[in-house]
Formats: sequence, C-alpha cells, structure tokens
Amino acid sequence: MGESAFALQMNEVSKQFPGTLAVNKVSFEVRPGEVHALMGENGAGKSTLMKILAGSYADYTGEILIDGKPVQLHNPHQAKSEGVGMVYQELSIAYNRSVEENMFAGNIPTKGIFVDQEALRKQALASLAKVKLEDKIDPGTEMKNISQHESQLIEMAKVLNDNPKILVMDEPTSALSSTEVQMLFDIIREIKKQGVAIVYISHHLPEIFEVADRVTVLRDGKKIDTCDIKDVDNKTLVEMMIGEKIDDFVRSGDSETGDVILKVENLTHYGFVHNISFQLNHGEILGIVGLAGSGRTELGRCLSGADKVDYGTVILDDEAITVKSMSQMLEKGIAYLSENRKTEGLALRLSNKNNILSSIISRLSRFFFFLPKKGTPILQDQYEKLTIYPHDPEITTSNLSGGNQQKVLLAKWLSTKPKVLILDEPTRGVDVGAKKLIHETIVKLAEEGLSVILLSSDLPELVALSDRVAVMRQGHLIGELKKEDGFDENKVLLAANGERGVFSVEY
Amino acid sequence: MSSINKDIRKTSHNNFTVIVNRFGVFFMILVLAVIGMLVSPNFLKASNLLNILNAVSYLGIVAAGISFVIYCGQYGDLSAPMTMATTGVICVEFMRYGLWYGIIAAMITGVVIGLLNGFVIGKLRVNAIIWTLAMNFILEGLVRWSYKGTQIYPDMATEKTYTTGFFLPLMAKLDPHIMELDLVSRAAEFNALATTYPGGVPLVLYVMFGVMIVGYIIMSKSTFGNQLKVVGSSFDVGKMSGINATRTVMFAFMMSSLFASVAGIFMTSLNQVGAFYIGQGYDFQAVTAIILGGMSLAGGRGSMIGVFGGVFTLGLISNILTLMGVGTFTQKMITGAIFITVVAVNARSLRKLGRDYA
Repeated sequence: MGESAFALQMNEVSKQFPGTLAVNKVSFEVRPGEVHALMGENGAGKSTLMKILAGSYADYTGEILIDGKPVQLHNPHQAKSEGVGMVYQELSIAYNRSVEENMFAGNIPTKGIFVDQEALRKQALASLAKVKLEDKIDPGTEMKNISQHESQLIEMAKVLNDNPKILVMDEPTSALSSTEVQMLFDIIREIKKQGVAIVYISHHLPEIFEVADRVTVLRDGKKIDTCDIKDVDNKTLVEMMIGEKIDDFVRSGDSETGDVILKVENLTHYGFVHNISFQLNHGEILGIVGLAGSGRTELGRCLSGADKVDYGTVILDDEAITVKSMSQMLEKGIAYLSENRKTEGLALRLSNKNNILSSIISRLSRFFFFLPKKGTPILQDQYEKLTIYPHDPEITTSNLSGGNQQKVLLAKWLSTKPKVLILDEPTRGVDVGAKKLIHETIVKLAEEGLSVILLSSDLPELVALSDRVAVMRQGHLIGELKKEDGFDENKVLLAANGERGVFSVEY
Repeated sequence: MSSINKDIRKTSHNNFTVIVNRFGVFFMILVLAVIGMLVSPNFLKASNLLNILNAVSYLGIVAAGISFVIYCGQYGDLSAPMTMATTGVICVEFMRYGLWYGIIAAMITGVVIGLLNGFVIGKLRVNAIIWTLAMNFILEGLVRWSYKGTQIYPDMATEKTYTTGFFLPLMAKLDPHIMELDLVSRAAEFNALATTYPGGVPLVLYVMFGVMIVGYIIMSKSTFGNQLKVVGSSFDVGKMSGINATRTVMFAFMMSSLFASVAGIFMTSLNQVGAFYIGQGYDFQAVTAIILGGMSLAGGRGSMIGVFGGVFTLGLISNILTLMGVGTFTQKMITGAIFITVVAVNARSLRKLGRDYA
C-alpha cells in the first residue's frame, strides 16, 4: 500500500515544557477505520500528545502526516481544517440554548438576517442520526434538559458534522452507565465503518479490550509500544503502563471482623434514601453497589451529615446519634470522601498541607489560634503511608497528578482519625499505580480495625476489597451478598440490576 | 525508586509569578517612592509621609474589613459606603449618652448589617455584589428619609432638625428624657476624634494599624481565618470538610461592616457632619487596594500585609499626582484605570492558575 495506509502518522513528535519534556520523540500511527487506544498513567503524556494533534501548541517538534501529507498543526483552526476532531471529557455546552443551536453554533443557516429554522432543524436531525439520537431527542429542546450521556453524544455529533478523518475521544465513558457505554460503542463501530480513524483514550481496561483494535502505551512521555489488542492482556498492559510487574490485586489474609460499630436503622431522606438499615462491624469493608441514581452517594452524604436525615437512627459505638451536621459527625468519627474530588473534595488552589488539614482546623486549634505545627506529624505520617509525590506539603494541589490528588484527599479524611470511613468512588480517574496503593491502604486500615463503607461503581474493586456487598436500588437496600457465599463481578452486577435469587440475604 | 513514584510533571508554579503576586505591590511602592523623590524634594519629608498615611488611614480601615469578604471568595462588599454613613449617624445620635455609647452603638449597627449581609449571602447563596449593592441603596434611602435629606451637624443641634427624623423619635419613645441630654457639648469631644494627634501622629492612624494587626491575626493565625481560607477557595469543599461555611461567610461580612463602622465614626468626626455621602467611593477604592495588594478575587489567597501595601500604594499615587499638580477629577480617572488594569492582571493570573487544573 502507499503512504496513505495511515490516516495519521506522528513521527518523533516532542513537546517541551519548562523543566520537563512532556512528550519525548513519540511516533504514533493510526489506520483509517481503526480504533486505536492510547493508554498511560496520568502524566504519561497522552493529553499533551493529543493537544499537539488538536493544534494547541505552536512549538512542538517532529513531523505530523495526515493521509500521508505533511501538515502543520499550530492552531486549533488548522487542526480542524485538516480533519482532526476532538471530543473532550468536559463538554462545551451553552445550557440555555437548544440542542440544534448548540450543534451548529457559529455555523447556523440563515435566511437573510434571520435563522433559517427549517434548514437548521433538518441539519440537526441529520446530524443526530449519526449518533442514533434522531428519534430520541427533539432538536428544539434546551440543552439543560438533556442528560449527561446524551449531551456527550450530541457533542460527538457536533464534531462529526465537520467530517473529521481523525476523531479523538478523551475518556468518553467516565460518566456513563454500562448500558450507555454499550450504546456509545455501537456508535463508535458505526463511525469506524465509515473509515474514520479513532483515537480512544481511557483508563478503563475492559473497555479497551472491547472496543479497540490496537493500543499504544505511553509512559513518562515516551512511547513504550504499540500492539494489536489480541496480543496483549490486562496484566501486560498494566505492566507496560507502570513499568513494573504487578500482581492482580487480591485481598490477602483473613478478613476478621469484630463487633458491631455502626448500626443504622430506617435511615430516610425523603426522595433519596428510604428505610435503610444495616450493620457494620469493626474492621469490616462493606461495599455498597447500585446503578446511577440508586441513592448510593446520598446514603453516604446522609450518614456523614452532609445531607439532611428525615428520620432513622444511627448508633455508633453504642451511642445513638441524631445526625445534625457534618462537623458533628466528623467529631463522632464518621468521615466521608466525596466522589467529586475537584468540586467538593479538594480546594485545588490551596497547598496540600492546607487541604489535608482542612477538616481538622478546629482540632488543631487552641483557644482562638490555629496551630499548624501540631499538624506536622500528621502530614509526615500520611505522606509516608500514602507515598504522596512530590514529597512537599507546600505545593499547590492542582499541580499534582490525579492519582496523587486522590491520595491527598484520602489523607485529608484519614487525618480526622475516623472510626467509620465512607469512601465514594475512591479511585475514580486515578492511574493504576495510585489505584493499587489506595486499595492496599484501605485493606491495611481495615486490618487495623477501621470500618469502611465503600461506594463504588468499579466492580472489580468492589469485589476485591469488600467483606460484604450490599445492593441499593431506587433508594432502598434490597439485599446483600456475603463473601462466604462467594461473589464475583457477574453476580454483583446481576444483583445491582435487581435480579433476585443471587443474594445471601434479601431485605 | 520505582517508576510509580516518578512523576515528570511540573511540580510548582513559576516562582516569578508567585513573587509578583505576593510582593509585587512593595516593588511598586519602591518605584513610586523613586518617582516621588524626582517629582518633589518635599516627598521624602516625614511630614509628607505622615500625610500620605493619614490620608489613606480611613481607606485602610475599610479595606481591612472588605479584604475578609474578598478572602472569602465573595468579590466585595458594596454596602460599605452606606454602612459608614449609617453608623456615623447612629454614633452621633447615641453619643448624647456619652461618646462611648455612640461608638459602641455604631459598631453594633455595623455588626448587625454585616450579619444580615452574611446570612443572605452565606445561607441563601445570593450573589454578593447584587445583594450588597441593594443593601447600600436601602441604607441610603433610610438615612436620607430619616433626615428628610438634611444633614446632621452634632455641634449645631436644634430641636427642629431632630423631631423630623426617624432615629430620634424612635429613641425618644424608648427614652422620653432624651431631648434633655446635651448633644452640643458631646459634639466637641466627637469632632476631636479625627483631629487628635497623640504623639504627633493622628489617632485614626493608630486605629488603622490596630485594625490591620487584629485583621492580620484573625485572617492568618486564627482558627476562623484558616477555615475562611478553605471556604474562600471553594465554598463546597469547605462545607464538605465539616466547616460551617454559612457561619464563616457571615463572619467575613460582619468583619467588613464592623471595620466600616469604625471608619464611619472617624469619617463623620472628620467631616463634623453625619450625612449619607460619608464614605462614598470607599468600596471601589478599597477593592482596588486589596487586589493591588495581591489578594485574589477568587478567594483564599493574599494577606493583610498585602492589603496595607495596596492602600499605601493608592496613597502614594494620589500624593505624587497632587505634588505634580494633577486635579482630583483626573485622579479619579487614574484610580479607575488602575482598577481596570489590576483586575485584568488578576484575571489573567487566575486563568494561568486555572490551566494547571488539568
């Protein structure tokens, strides 16, 4: 075949930032009609490489060929006109405008000085058909009434309007449920058939195996290898990503659990969680699983005092507590790690020190004064245990990689010395190395007697860590699976979908 | 070390940006001092420097208060001017019982206004700019309606001025003997407040330094200040860290109005008149000084030392312009231009910081 065997060729592309070589002579090819997964830990250079492709930098070095023709991608406009389409994690949406206006923003058909509504509607429907939404969505609907999942597809349709030769998708599934993911994959396969080269960035290994044809792994700004997906397995990919051999994470040792520490009875927050009753033992890890909207997060928020509790009893260490506020529950020993690291978890513009100590400011105070020195041993302890990198508490949190930010968030809650730690998606958007460490830390803490409630949609994680898995559906606890009876991802997934007969205990 | 721990990303901000952000204002002071010396030989004289400080001491007190609001991530307290005017009037009314009664009543009024602002903004999450702007409007209406648009001269009190008012008839209902109290002799004491020079330095300057030192300790050293920093950086993170974010916001607005009331008392004393226009323009100037001093409009960054730097810089600029013979109106335009520049630079550096989020 001729040169155009590749839709995209990047030859020895580099990008220098002050102090670091973010992308170091990376060569990377994508064939037309293939889904090419781009993998690597946070900070490996994936995003930088894709930003080069999107024309975000004018000062990259190396050569880029599209359809065998050398191109210069020095600004986003050039990239777009050369046929590069990007679908980012964060959507660019004007929520108060209609779907069609969003899709054709900047390119709305006109009749004289007026919008040509008919043509716009026609175009919008044609475009929506590409993502199979033409029957589901009225193009006149305001964007704010569209679900996250559909907005993402609309964003994709918008990019497809420009008929890109190369489509880059950055973590497109991070906010989707598993059925929605399947729908997205169907669409990807459809686009693929039309000969579009797709670069697919994801942390989620099972997805890669499902949708990708080839995979390229980056580490520390360098390309490690490109492989056919059938030549690699989970383990080799992870090893390539983190550069050392790792074992599958299995929780070792017996999970001995002690007496009851937390007893929840009929906990209710109208409209969110209803009549939740369960017990938690010393040193136990209780996984709670449920589909989006099952009330999982709301349960965590109620228990931690972040949300209102309408009625129900919470008995912690034989003490009945009326849940009033978060500070009260923190004082009693229940800490809640939020799933939204960037909006509720960490103040990204503050230093790591400020962030880690933020929940214990009043504890580290005497009379009127805050004594940060009293927090130094806590900081040292957490930095060592969690190997937060770089080892400098004064660094602004936003400069850390996602994995290290998550460690800082975990450190923040561990510093409160909780009796019960509620973890809501503790490893979302975190690279493999950090994920492993967080898992190990959770297990170690449980062995030391801390009780953990793990709210997670990551089934392998849930299955590997939990002693018991409780299932929530539509705001109710519907049953639980015990480890003795054996549970695997499949069983848990069935249970979460409301399948009866798989539970050890049904409520 | 295994490769897990090897992180090749940039680990700190450009140090230059940090230094410029934090201490830039003192560099500016240095430059202005050199310009000042070139413009006039009188510039470096102790009397001139004292003049500069004296001129900005009112602004300094107001800015120290508003800086809490900005530190809290709430952009500003536009009710400061009318808080100054209202508390000034209250002080005059209450000092019939004695000067301290007046001062304390004024400060209590300030605290009440601040708590109301803080409650609405912190609890009901109303936009701070809109709410405090409305508050300013309401207070202005209240003061002007109360005195039928006239002013209140403590040393020329006649019964006629007072029976038409709102505050006094109200007070008269509570205390029928109030009209027998002698306001005029108190007025001399009150008017002297702004013109006392203990040790050759104006009293208000001591107050400004006092207020700033107290403000510094609260903002940077206290439990509350550190919680304010978290809430200021992100309201939701603060709330989800077990901090009572509403109370924190209320406290920030309370500090703002309390300090504004202190400035209001001195300003009223300086003008020897209680009137609605006392304090006009102070909100704007204070915000300019605060941002000039390196405090970020996004909250959680900066310190009282920077606020002092910003206030002093505005004083220097005004002094130098005056020495150069530039008129007041032109100076206003220049202050406005400085505000725009400083806010633009602030927004730009915020965007730079924002870019590091990814």
